[in-house]
Amino acid sequence: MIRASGWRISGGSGSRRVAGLLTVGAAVLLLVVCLGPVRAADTLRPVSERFAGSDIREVPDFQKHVIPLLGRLGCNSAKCHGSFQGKGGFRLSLFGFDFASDHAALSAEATSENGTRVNRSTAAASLVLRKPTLKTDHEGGKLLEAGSWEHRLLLRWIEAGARGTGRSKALVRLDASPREIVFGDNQSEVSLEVVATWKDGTSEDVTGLCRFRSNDDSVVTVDSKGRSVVAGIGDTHIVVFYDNGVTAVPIMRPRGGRSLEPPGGTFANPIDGFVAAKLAKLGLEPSLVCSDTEFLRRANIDITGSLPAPDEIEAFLASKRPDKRSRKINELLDRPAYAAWWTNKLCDFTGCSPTAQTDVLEVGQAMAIQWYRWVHRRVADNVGYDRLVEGIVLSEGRQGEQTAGEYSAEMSSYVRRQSPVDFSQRPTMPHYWTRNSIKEPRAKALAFAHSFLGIQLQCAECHKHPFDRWTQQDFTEFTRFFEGVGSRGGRVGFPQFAAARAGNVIRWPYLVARTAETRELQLLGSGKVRLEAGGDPRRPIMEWMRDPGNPWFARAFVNRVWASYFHKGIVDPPDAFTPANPPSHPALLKWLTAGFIDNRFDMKWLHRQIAGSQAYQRSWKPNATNRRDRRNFSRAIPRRLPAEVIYDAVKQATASTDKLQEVRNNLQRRATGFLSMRMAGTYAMNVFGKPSRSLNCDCERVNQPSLLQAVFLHNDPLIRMRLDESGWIDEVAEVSTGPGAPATAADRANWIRLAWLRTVGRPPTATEVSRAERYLATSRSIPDGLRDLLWALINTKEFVLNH
Amino acid sequence: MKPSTMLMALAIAFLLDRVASADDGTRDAGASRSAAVQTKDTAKPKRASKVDLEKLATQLKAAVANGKLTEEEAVARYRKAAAGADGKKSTAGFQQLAPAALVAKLTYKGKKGKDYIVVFEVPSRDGEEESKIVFVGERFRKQFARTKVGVMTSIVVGGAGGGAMAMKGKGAKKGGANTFYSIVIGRLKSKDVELGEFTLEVDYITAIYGDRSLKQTVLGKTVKVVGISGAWLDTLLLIKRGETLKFRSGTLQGTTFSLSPKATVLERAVPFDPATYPVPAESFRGFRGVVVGTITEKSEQGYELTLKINSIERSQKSSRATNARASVGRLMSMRGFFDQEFRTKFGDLKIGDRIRVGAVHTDPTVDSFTVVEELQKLSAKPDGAEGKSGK
Repeated sequence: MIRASGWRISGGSGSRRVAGLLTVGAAVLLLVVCLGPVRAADTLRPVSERFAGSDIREVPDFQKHVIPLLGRLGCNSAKCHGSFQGKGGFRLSLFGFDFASDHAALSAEATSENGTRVNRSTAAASLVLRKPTLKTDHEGGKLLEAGSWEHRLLLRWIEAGARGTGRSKALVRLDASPREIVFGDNQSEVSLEVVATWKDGTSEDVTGLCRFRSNDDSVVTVDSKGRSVVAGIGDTHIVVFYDNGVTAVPIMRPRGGRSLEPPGGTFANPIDGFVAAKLAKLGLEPSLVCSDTEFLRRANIDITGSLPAPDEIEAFLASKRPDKRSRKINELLDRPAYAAWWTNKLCDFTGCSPTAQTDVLEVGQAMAIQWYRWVHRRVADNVGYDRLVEGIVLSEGRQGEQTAGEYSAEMSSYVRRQSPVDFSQRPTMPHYWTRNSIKEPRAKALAFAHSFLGIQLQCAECHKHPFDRWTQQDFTEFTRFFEGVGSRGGRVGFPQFAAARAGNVIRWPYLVARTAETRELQLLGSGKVRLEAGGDPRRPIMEWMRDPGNPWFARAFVNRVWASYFHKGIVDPPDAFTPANPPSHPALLKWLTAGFIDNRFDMKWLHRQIAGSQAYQRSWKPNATNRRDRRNFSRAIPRRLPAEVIYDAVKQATASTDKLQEVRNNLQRRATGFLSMRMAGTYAMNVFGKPSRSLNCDCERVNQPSLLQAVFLHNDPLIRMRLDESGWIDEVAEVSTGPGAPATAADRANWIRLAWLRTVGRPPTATEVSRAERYLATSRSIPDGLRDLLWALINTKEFVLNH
Repeated sequence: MKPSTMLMALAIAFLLDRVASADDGTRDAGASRSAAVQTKDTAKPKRASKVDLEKLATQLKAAVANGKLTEEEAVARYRKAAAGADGKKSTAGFQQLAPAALVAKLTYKGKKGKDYIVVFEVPSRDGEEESKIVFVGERFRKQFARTKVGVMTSIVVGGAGGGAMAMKGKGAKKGGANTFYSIVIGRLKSKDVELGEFTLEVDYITAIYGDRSLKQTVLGKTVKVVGISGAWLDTLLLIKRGETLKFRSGTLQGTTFSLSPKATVLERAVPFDPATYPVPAESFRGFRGVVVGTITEKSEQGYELTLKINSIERSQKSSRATNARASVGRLMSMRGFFDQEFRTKFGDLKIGDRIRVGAVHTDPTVDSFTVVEELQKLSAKPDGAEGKSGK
């Protein structure tokens, strides 16, 4: 092992940097489907053939054959002997990750009835054979046919002494064939073949020993032998599990039974090339380009979390420039609202919450606002995502040689009521680590993996991850990185905080991140890292994440941004990067990720690419081919406005003309801005699904519609207050009932047009104008009529949806 | 802390006070800053130059005590040594300490020679030796006048402004925010549900924990309330301007309250009227006994009830109320239901329920009574036990 800058990763054949190691490490099982050929000449024939006859000399291997077979039969699943309590006194490790304990359990005396589970002298009398063949009672039913190859395999293993596994063998590749299945007109089923390659170079057809799962049964079903049967139009994956390996096979059933010609020519935006290629394979035609008003509203909402202002809409519609959309995207990315909205999103998945910090709400509020401001400054300055994350990951409490007193003075200066110092100027932001909710190293590991890697390690906390390669050992070692990371120095109570607010210096807890003793730890299957005593254990993780070869860090962010624009991730859910949940467009994700890294993690570059694509600018209106498509970006998927956006949108729709700009730019008063923290927990935010940021899950933000939301928009006091105190209605009242001439027909038409522009972002149709005029004519007054009109528009689907 | 260490700390403080006073007029500030520094240094005797200075200080103190040196000579020697140790002149020989907050026990205050000193002891942690902080100077006499010996106190030492600030656990803080838990009742004048602020005209303040004298500074005035967030904003949204509301305050700074983070109360209330509000009559103050009453108001968050007194069932001998019976038919405010003994029963109570409850009015300056010993829900109809009168 070579040491440099305090840490190194050692690989199998020597030392190398992280990226090099990843090519043989973490990424290998993800990439195997792209490697071929699947079955070489020296590949062992499948066990189903080798153990089909009665005269068998081969001795099955416990790790390679026996445990995978028990897994395929379901014996070590959670509902059977893999449960924590086991079944019938017999407990196996869940999904078979602990060979020693499984072997011990199999070799032990049965407790539920007489006999041994494995009877080496009379193999056929072993309970592991008698039970699944129902020679004796078995709650799990019949799982084996006597005389089948499965039965023979287990029998032969017992006859040969039922030996376990000394040191576990390393699986290096799991290849499935075909690598991709596109079901044609006359094709309804395909059988998969799976080959495992071990570290010693041997390979074997393990099809009969794998577990198979379809990610969408409405497209394809798969049986225990790997036989895939088409069920409907669309695309999905069949996931294959064997030993510690997981691989996925893309399955497609084109519409009409055949793919279309791949698109020719080049695409101005490479994203469209990737999307078009997949659509052609599926026989889908993309929807038409959306209208200018649809684009403007959609881009405003997705980029800035705001509705477009009426004058902005008019100007955009009037513009004849061919590049007006790309210019608008650039303009939106330069607005303060962009920084506010995307800070809000970053706060979502990093877990910025007043309640997570401390149980003293006022202190929590202040810290959460500091967190928001710190991120906001960097998003506004378009600091690279890696540098932004570095400021969080490698954050410090006492900086440099700072004494405790100086640190307390510094922290107190941020919260004092008079002339507070701007926390965002601080080089690092320690609140991520000092949250009460992640005090334990275990909780830190889970939160970190979710926030910055887009992976969920929860399962591996207790057992091998069922859909990923993570074992308990992986999780435990990752957890140990965070053992020396935590808050020191007590807590800030309400009286102390009140004193700090009044301008006094109080003692603040501070973050410490030091390795207690030199140790080597496995970094999520990517090789070993040496941590020196006294060093910052988070540094190697940060350097590993920053490495272009890291399989998660950049991809997770790219995918989250994509999901925010399309309401569907390329990997979906966006925080579930597992081999069992592969990307719908792997080449697209790879290209975007590489571009993001090449552009120094420039977040605005990423936004420009995505928002500038045709795929993003498609209409929500489906055509005859893509009505059911929700994962291939052939059309826009209408989705409800997020909680904060609805709050701000209602406010904007009712604001006076001279306040419109202020409403959009005053982040102190925007739900997507600093108000975000204060508003957490209000009814408005709860009912529209603003996350409390207490879980390690992107799913915490709820985008589903509900009846309560409809009721809220109908008559919640907040909506009533906005309408009753509408500055715009007051303006109208001044003109329509003022001392000047009464409102003219042109005035009324203008107000009706403005009502539409303010809410749904488009001019009204002739029919809508006519209906609105009729209503105004019968209203008690024009302001009353317009108030009703605004209320009605706010209660339309068109208002509440981003379409 | 060893006695010798304490003596040394005192000596250093004493010496440096003289140094500071000799240099400029900021005698107290310099003294306290230096004292804090020295205390820090004594807790970390690893740095050679500081250790030498400590030894020297001890020796000089002994020399002064033995009459071998005058105080002036000792000061001069110490200044010379300090300058040599740090390569700077005496006062600069001590590092400038940034302001730091500490919780310490006041162990001594009074004259030491010609000087007034206040000594704090910082509790030991992890087996470390306790350290002491000494403030030297007349102004600390006034500053710590209300702080009793033996009381744990928050103090702030150091800082560019110099001097020391102290904040007792529950007491007032000079020039700063006061922890002031109370129920404030008033009429809403304006509100900003986004910034989480409102103003109200204060009609009545009760259930005060903190400096009760502050009550008079805001009663009848328009005050600002800040720090409303989360679900409390929903409550504020529903209260209209001009309506009466009540809230539990946490701090008071000038005329700005903050909402209490504990047992938070923010709700609409009936307009304040001394005759109909639960302000106890003079003849009822000091009451101890059992009353039967009907609940007219209940604060879930504050664990408080307002009762309409149906009868005085029993008065204890120790009751100081002169005519409790005269309060039958009036309202009384009761608190203290958060105690485990009453919490469950309190949860079951609702407005309109008749209850029998033990009540004690310990502090005549407070308007609410505390629940003690007994809490029983009664049937809707008055029973025979009612009607008994107290004194």
